[in-house]
Amino acid sequence: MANVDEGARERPDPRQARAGQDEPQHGGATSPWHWAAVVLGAMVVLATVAILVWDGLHRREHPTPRISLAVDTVVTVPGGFAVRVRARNDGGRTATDVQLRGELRHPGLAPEQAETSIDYLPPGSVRREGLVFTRDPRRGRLELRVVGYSLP
Amino acid sequence: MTAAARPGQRAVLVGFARAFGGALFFALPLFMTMEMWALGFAMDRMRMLVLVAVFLPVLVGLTHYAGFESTTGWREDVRDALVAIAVGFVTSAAVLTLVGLVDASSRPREAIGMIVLEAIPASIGAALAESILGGQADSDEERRRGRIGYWGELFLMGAGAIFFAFNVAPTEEMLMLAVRMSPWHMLAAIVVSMVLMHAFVYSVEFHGQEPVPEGTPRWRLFLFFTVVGYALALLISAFVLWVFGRYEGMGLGFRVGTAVVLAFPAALGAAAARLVL
Repeated sequence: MANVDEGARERPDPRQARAGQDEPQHGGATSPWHWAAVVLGAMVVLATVAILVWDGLHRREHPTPRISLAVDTVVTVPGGFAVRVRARNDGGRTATDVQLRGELRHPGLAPEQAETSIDYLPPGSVRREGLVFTRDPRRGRLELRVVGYSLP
Repeated sequence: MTAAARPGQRAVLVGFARAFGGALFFALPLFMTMEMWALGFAMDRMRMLVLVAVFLPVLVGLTHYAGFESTTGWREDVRDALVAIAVGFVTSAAVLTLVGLVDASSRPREAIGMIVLEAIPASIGAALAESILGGQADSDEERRRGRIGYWGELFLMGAGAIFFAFNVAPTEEMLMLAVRMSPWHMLAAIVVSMVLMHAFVYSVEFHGQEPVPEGTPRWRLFLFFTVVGYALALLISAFVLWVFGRYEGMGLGFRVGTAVVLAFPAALGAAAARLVL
């Protein structure tokens, strides 16, 4: 009797034995590659959480958008000159509907204005916009500024 | 010789009909998404190429694990994947013509961009047609499903994540949500995504292609399927957002945030794929 019992215990269901090698949830041997997947996966999730926490603390420290503007290039386009403007948000909060205005002054002429807007500018982000003038901005004095924005 | 031919030919025709049905069924929401048309025009062509290059092996894997014909070897899987692509392209071109987005006056560059982009979800639909619309759960299918293994399970999860992510990633709403949500909302979204995912993972074990032997520790399921699956959903979301040019010039916090937003549907897709496929 005892012998029969032992025989049964030593011969497990072949299907389960195979599944045990193949699929970790069956409690059998797990290949190191499966564990590598777990380690990589956990690292991705933890890094995501860490970045979000850092971002949250950063936003708390710098609760307003800080938008700086810089001229990238000036190119000739049909109808005038396009100024490529780079807008960068160094604050801790996203600005939406950012209104940009450029004013171009040439000596002896009326100032010329051009406007554009940016949908949204999250912290640490850079967007490129274009302002178009009829006169060459390289020969006048160009002033760029943020006229306004909304907070989401 | 005649059209009313042998049963073999009939099966092929039925298979094609299903493939077209699947392509239409799965890709219709994206055919009617404005941002997809715009991306078709404007998307960086190198990235479109990367996207297609990534999708080819995914399609081959899909036809292998969930394909519209029971295949016996990799050669047949590749053949079926190519058929799925062909069906996807034909469906894409036909639907875009039907709704008037592509016509004789379209510029070739724009028309081709739209057709290629829309053909990707359509080919997935074609590849999945048998598994979803077929309904013949033959023993062969079950046997294959039975020996799918850990990597196969992960592949199916990834395919589900890609499909769900692809469906919503083009929309402006993803970005607006990422702008609106605070990082604390995002952390909550991670927790909710993983809890829901784990519920799916756990229910699959009861759904039961392979019953779990008693005493399988729950943390193992959590680590091997939920954590790895969610990480997969995050990485796939980030990839899709990058391909669609949503990361251009954006800060790290925003990139991670949009990936978390997109990973919510992607994670559900990943978890559901193990149930559905």
